[in-house]
Amino acid sequence: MLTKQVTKEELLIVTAARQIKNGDVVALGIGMPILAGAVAKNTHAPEAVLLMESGIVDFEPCVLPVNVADATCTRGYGYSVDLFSVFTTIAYAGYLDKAFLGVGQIDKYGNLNTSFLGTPPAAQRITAAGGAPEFYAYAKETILTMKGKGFVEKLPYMTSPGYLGGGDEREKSGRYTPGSGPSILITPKGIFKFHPETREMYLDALFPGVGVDEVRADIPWDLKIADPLGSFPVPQDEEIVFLRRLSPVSSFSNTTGKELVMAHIRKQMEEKATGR
Amino acid sequence: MAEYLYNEEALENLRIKDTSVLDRLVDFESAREAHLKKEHAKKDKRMPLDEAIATFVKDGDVITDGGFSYVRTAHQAFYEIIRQGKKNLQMIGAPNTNQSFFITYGLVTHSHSSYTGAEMRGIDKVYDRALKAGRITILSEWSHGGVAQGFKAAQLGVPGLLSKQMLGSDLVRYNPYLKVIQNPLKAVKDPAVFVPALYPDVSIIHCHAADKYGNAYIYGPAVNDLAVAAAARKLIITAEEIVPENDIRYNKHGQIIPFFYADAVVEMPFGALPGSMPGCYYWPRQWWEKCMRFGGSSEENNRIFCDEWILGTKNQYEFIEKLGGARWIAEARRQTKAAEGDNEDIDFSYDEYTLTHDPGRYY
Repeated sequence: MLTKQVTKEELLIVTAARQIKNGDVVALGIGMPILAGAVAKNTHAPEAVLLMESGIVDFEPCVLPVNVADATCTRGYGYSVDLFSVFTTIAYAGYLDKAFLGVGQIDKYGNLNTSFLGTPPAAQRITAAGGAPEFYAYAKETILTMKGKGFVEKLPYMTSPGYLGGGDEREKSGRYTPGSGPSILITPKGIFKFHPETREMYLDALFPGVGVDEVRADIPWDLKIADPLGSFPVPQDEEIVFLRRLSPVSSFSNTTGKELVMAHIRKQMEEKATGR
Repeated sequence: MAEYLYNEEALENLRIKDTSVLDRLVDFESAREAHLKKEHAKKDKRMPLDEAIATFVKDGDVITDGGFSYVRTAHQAFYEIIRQGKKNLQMIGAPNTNQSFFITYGLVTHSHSSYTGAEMRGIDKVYDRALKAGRITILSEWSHGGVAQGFKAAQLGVPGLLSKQMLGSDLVRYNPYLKVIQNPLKAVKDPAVFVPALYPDVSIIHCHAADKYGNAYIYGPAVNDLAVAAAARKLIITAEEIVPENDIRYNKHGQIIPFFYADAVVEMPFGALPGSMPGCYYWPRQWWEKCMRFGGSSEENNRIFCDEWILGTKNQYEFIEKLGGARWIAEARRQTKAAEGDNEDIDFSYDEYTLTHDPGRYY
């Protein structure tokens, strides 16, 4: 039995980890996805195959990488392929079950912008495409994570197309592998999913302690809400124990560690303020 | 020179008037010409770094980023290009993270953009500032899969590849090289992107070991480098060590770049610094934090940082001295072994550089 409370970040990571099923081939990215992949691989999904965009396939994270070609990923990795092959012989060919993508901006049909916060070339530039358009086009399912409040009515730039204008527009376009597209968006306020017919994003579950109004405040369109609302998973001890063993001794511990500590302090202060 | 029918919407969106600046990257005829002319014989191609850069990197060249951002990238050779002040360069890569060192000195003036940032350490503010100030022009926007496909087409020896990559993305509307066409064999709607073979002028690839002829061995992910080696008009190999040919032939079972692509072979221990070299040394994390956070904070600070580390050092040995000398080497080796589980100590904690806290050391 764990005595220390599960933090907000830990709950988000476990939620992401649960999206990975045993046996999935999963493309991870730096930050939360790799933590999620590590938790899944070491708990409920030991037969999952973890890969990085840099071409490192079937690796076993025991120290957290800060770069997708980090030396920490080459620990006991199965093999490496070149960048070309990650997207073609693995993803396009049909071997990629899940991909994780970080979101800068998103619209209601899951279209993504990670390039410019305005009309290029003069607009503020963010990190740009990387391999996101390929993973989004080819993975059987894509799991999105977003830290900020990047919901927008209209994207200034579409880096990675999601369900386009909704409905069957993505399928009909003939551009993407059939059945691909985003399945879920996880944010610190909730879990969002996409309606199977309209493909419009809706709120599926609220983060514990967050109200619907707080979610709506970030979203410029009239957000639909699942009825009844789903819920975040309840972390198992083994997941949290593994995560805490992994995170404190990592190269990544400083940012995450601080976030974890800050979240914990904030929570304590909130509790104090509300007299609980 | 051949004529090209570039994607006009992209030319307009990127405000490119004179398209001749785009030609070299896709000019197969001149690439083949360069390959025909270069030394084919199996000769000793060793030379010092400054000579290799002076001989094979010319003003106006299209250069490539290599490795993966800060893993097995030929940073020390890049710094020599900066020290020699090569001008009007274009840069392409997947990722294309290291162009900002050149942009700082106004040397890379044209970018074939893909990913620019430092992952956990944030967005590249140097590039953003240069774009807004008009000191750099974007010639084409890419995804990693797109760039990889262009280099691979060159390696395969085909004019280009039809692929499903980047379809529907605004990247296609901001890339003059890309055209969307219908799959000619399909009766139903099946759009595909024609990605042309890409031929950069010069690539510098840092490897773990090479023989004097240029057979070069890579441990860990090769990323785009095997394709780039074949695609480039000129190739400089920098290697952690120069080994007898026998060693490559009989002992190594990794990924090999064949010698006939290579124009120069440079013995370059610690050539990936300040990046990582898998199996050899881990990167100085505080250095990159300082680069992104202090250098990112203003143009003046960026210049101070780059002047200190790039112009302020003559070679990798002076760079190592600034990082902490023998102590840094020992720690960097311990860390990289720890990262791969080759030693007992996997404590990766370190003293992080922030704008309010400079630990003053790089391990």
